[in-house]
Amino acid sequence: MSKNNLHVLFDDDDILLNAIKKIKEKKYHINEVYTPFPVHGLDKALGLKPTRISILAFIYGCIGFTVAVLMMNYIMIDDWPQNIGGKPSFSFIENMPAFVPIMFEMTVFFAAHLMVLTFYMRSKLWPFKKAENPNILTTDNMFLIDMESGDNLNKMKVFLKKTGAVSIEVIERDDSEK
Amino acid sequence: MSIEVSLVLAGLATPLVLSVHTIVSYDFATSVIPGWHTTIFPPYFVAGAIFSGFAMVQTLLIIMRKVSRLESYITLQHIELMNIIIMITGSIVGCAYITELFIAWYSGVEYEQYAFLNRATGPYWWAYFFMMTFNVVSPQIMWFKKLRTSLIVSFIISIVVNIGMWFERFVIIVTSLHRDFLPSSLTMFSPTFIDIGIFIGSIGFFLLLFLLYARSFPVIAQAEVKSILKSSGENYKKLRDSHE
Repeated sequence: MSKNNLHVLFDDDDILLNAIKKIKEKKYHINEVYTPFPVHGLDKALGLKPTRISILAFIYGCIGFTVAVLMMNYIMIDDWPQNIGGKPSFSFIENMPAFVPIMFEMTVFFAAHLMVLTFYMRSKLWPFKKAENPNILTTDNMFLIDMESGDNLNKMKVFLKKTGAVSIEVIERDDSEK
Repeated sequence: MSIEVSLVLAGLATPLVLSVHTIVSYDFATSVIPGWHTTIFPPYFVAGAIFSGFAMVQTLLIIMRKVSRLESYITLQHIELMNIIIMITGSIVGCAYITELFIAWYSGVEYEQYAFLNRATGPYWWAYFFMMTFNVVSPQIMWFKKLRTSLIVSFIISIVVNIGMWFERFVIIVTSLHRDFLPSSLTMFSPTFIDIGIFIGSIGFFLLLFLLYARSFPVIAQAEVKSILKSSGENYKKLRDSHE
């Protein structure tokens, strides 16, 4: 028996969160949830792994710091040492305090820009991309759960109505794609 | 994930604000020019940046809110709270001005004493006077609730503060440089055609970027407003449930 997909609409994020908990309890599979704004606690309710983006931000910051150190060492010490205000720049250690602002700012620059780029890449977002919302209402005030229908469609519909669903749409799954 | 990104960006940007303005002020403070060689510069510049930043945002915000009809999102309360911040940071900047004068006298360094006496009473007294009036005195009217909740007063004060902060930079740079250790270097500042051109050009370039941004992106992050409306709408929901 081929399974269908269900698009279940909710009109409130609290009701949505409760519904997701109940759906998870019954072990039905949720493909994706579309919401008009970030819903707090949704990732936990769906059992998504915590994001590792802050670890990446730290690594990117370290890369920025290294680039700043190498850059300042090349520019100010190796390539073109100068005598500024009676303080000749022949040694990196002695001139390091003057480079601290550059190191800090390059750290922030790399961490911020690369983190945002990573976020867009992981979210598969880029300029002029067409939106993938199955229902345009999810950009306004409605919350949509895209889930598998299970074996008994009618039983499922009754169960979802009980959780507070506003409407349930059955999407015929095109098996020829597989 | 987007919440995490915003959080880390905020954590990176906050120390960046402090560092940028501190370092800009060090560019002055590490020199040996009387009037620039001051340890109070870093906190003074950070307070000045918040002060002028809020005033600039207030100017643009009041216009944008009217033009884009955002009155229900940017409320009078937002404007009032921004006015209070302008008043507080204006007073901090005022404290810094007075501390500078006190330290110049207290240091016993005659060059410092002359620089500050000349700053306030010399040929550029009018710049110092406008700086003091616009930056320190004018935001004090925000103590009155009736005035700080008035759009017209907020708009006028924000413009006045912007002009006052321009005078602050003028006072710091021009009055410190127009007198020197050698009498042959004493001079008065007269802007060249290029000086004025860069000044007007910078305003034009800022407005170009601002208006391009306002034209091509949503002026308000709608998803964020929705989540805030939701949480502040909790009370309404409780009320509704109790009547069912």
